[in-house]
Amino acid sequence: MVICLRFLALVLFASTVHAQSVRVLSDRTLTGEAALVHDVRWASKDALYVTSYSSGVLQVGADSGAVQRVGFAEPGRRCPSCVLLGVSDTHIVTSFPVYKLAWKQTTKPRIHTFVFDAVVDLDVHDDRLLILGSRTEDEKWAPDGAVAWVGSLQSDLKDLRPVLYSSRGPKEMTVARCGFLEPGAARFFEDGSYVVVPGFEPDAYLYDRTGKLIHTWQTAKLGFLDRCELPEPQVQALSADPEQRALWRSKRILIDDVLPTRAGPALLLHRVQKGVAHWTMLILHRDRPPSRIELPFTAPSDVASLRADIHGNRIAFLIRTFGEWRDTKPAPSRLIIAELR
Amino acid sequence: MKKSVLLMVLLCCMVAVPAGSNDCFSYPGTRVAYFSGCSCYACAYTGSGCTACTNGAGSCYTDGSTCEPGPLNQW
Repeated sequence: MVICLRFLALVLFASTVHAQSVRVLSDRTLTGEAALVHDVRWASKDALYVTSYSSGVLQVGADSGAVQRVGFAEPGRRCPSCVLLGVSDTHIVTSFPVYKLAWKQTTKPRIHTFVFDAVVDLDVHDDRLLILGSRTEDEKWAPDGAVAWVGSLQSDLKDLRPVLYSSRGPKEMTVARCGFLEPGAARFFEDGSYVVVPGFEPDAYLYDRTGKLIHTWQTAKLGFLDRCELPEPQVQALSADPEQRALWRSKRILIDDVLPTRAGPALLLHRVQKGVAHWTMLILHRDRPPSRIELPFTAPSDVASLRADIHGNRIAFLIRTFGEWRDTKPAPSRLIIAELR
Repeated sequence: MKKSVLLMVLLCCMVAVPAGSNDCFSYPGTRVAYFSGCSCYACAYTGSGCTACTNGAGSCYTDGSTCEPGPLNQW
């Protein structure tokens, strides 16, 4: 009887694990100003924001592909911060991976800037900004070892405070050494809680909206690179040489992004096989082992990477294929709208 | 003769001293990281002594070895 019950539980568990899937609704190559874009967020149920280094923040129709400028770059001038993107109903935040982020209220034109030395990822919820990264104080990298931060844009980030400290201690300077590898991700959930997956060191952390740590997932056995333990000469070589970095990345399974799905944080894991990029969605559950969904698309490049956002059960995937240091031109970005079922 | 050699060595050492906060390569423990998609290098720390490019992604459209001001970085 006990064995039967266990078998039944196992069958139920297995059916739950495999219950979810991702179905592609549309798959388009972006053109014009939106051809080479870095990050994506839903602007509404019908439109997306993307960041363009040359054109600023753009709004793209999810179905039509129609493009319009939102701001952050004057005509004819570039937008140095338009790489990483975070969007809420009230604010848009952009950041280059080092030095400075820029933000504005959605209804106002004024751009505010804020110096932050290294930004691996960011997100916004209402006026709260979440940063995975590190900053310097008196020319020293975060002496307290902080690697994730939350603050209020309404208060000009005067209340910015650390929420996660390096498990390896401040002397390791893991963000400073490995941040250029874009190793991790951070994201708010709809209710204001948030997840931080450093990538440069193990584990994933879930906080409630007040900043209280409510769950930790151990990542050591989840099948992706969850730490950065490179010797300094290799750090130097990989940071300066994009081709070496591409080769290094293509031999590992890495985190490209994290999505706040209703089932839990969904890591988007990137791997390259025979020159083709593949992705797996790994959903972290609090009460059972993670579930995996193989994403139903690939990219024919060893340098393709993925950013994404979710709105209800609709996911916008942005495939970026930068390889401009090679002889070939970077491939235009692909926007895939999919449904999580 | 010895004095002139000493002077030359001294001059060379003076040239090697960091000349300004925009030159990442002049500072010990620093490196320049390439950011794909921006076709851009920017200074970053690996230790104390150099702030990140004080003008943002300042080296993005030059040789990648220095951080220098330009219209790209002005808000």
